[in-house]
Amino acid sequence: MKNLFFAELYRAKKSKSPLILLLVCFGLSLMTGAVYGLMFGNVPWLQTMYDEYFGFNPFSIPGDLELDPDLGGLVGFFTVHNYGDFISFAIKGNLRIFIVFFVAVFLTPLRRSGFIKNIASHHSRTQVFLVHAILVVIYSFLLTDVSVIAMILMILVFFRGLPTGGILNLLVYTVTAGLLLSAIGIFVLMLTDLMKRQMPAIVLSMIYLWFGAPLLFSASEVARLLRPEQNFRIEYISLVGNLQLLSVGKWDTVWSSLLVIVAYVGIAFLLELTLIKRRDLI
Amino acid sequence: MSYIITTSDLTKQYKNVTAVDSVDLHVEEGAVYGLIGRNGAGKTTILKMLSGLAYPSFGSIRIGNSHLPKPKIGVLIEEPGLYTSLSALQNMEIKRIALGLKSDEKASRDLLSFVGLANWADVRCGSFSLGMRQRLSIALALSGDPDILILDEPINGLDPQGIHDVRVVLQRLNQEAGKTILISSHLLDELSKVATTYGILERGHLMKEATEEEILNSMPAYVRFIVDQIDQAKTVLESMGIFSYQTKSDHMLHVLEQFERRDEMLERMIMAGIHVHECQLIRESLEQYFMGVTREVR
Repeated sequence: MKNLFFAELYRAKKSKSPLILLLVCFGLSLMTGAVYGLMFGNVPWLQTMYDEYFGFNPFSIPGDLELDPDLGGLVGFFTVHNYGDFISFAIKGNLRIFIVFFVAVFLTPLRRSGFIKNIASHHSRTQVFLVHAILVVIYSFLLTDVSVIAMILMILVFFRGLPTGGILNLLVYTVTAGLLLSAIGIFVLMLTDLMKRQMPAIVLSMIYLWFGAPLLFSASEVARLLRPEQNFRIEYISLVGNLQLLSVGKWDTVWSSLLVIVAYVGIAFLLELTLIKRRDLI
Repeated sequence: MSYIITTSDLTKQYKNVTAVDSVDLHVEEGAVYGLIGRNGAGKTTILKMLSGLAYPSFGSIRIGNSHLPKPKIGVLIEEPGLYTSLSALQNMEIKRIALGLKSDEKASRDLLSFVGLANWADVRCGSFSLGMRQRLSIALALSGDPDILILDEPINGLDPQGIHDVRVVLQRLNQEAGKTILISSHLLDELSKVATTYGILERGHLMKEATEEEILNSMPAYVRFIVDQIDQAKTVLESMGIFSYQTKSDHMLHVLEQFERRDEMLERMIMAGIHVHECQLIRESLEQYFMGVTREVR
């Protein structure tokens, strides 16, 4: 298993596709951060422009974010509590598509190209799955880190300060987001393993992660109206891994996400070790 | 006998189709085992199960023996499985690392040279022809010095020179390095040049398993004589105690026994003043033998 892992690392080094995906992710995060920064940040020439044309700043955030992180308030369509939320908003669900791409572009070719035929007598199907699951976790953390770094850069540029909540909260957020992304990646990996053909599995994953999200969100909102004391958004976050709603320093969200990560990974491994294990590799 | 691959009751079912039905395979260590069968007979499915690509629906597989408990296996199944965006050398290196071997560019280049791809080592293999991909797949199968080679139609897509080269490589690997080779091919004449044992498959059943010698002995054979004086020739044969022969035409005679005495038959006929145009031992081809074995199922 260790050998297969190193072989896949060698391939990653030579094929460059994971690196390109990371760079694209970093670029997109910077771009998103810049757009949000221009909208909500302290940009003097924009303030002048807003005052000139509107008489006020339509995107202004009520209160002092840094002094009162839990103030809250409606900004456009989003509720912003602190700079951590800003990071969450800006990253949004972008990372999900990158992890699906990583599975599709980098991991599935082992079987799609037929190269697995050369190593199948040395590595079992379960070992291949485990190695790929580890790679998904590593890549999820790389994607999360790259995005968070891009966001911090944008906060420094546009808000001239660091995110509130402290480094520890930011670290917890990054780890939770990384784990949640890993869980989604492993789920997608399991889907591609379950379905013989890779492309339908990727499409199904996309449908679940993107089109399934609004449905689940609507359901959670309806549930929230019926029982306001219960935060159904936590379930929604956990089901679709929407990092947009994973707030920095919100421990209930973190714990809820961690529980569902365990559930996701548990289901994937249970299926892999029972049903999928006995399936043909090609 | 020391079998290195044995299967017991090996069965593979796809929904309502039984691709392989209760196959008991016995491959001796150091043999070149030729798996013969028409399309859909189950050859590839058996090879896939042996190489860990397919899961048996029923039955068991045992690879290894007391002499070689955990043999290394090199596999080439169906069309080549390659990373087309990487070079031939990089494909070889990935296989080496996956086997737990140290990255060794020289060893990989040597193997590529062995299959005639020395000048193509650094070229992206997406641009290779089918024959070149097949050669690269053979090099990949040989990577890591395997004890057993499982090759499914390895000469598909190769030109006559390539077919010859692969045959020479396989003969060398078997005779000089003692590798066990399990090979399937539609080209029975070509297979008969390397195989020492055969397994004949028909509709998922293993119809017969026999060594080359057993097959040769059981193949119908005859000595064909083409002579000018056929009646005199018959008299000569009968004087030698040979009575099992068939008259095929006014000049052609098939002797059906005592083939080892054909030189003596020829000598006696010439001494009797018979003009002999041809004296030849004729055996059925492997193809005819295969048709004969599978005829009863069809």
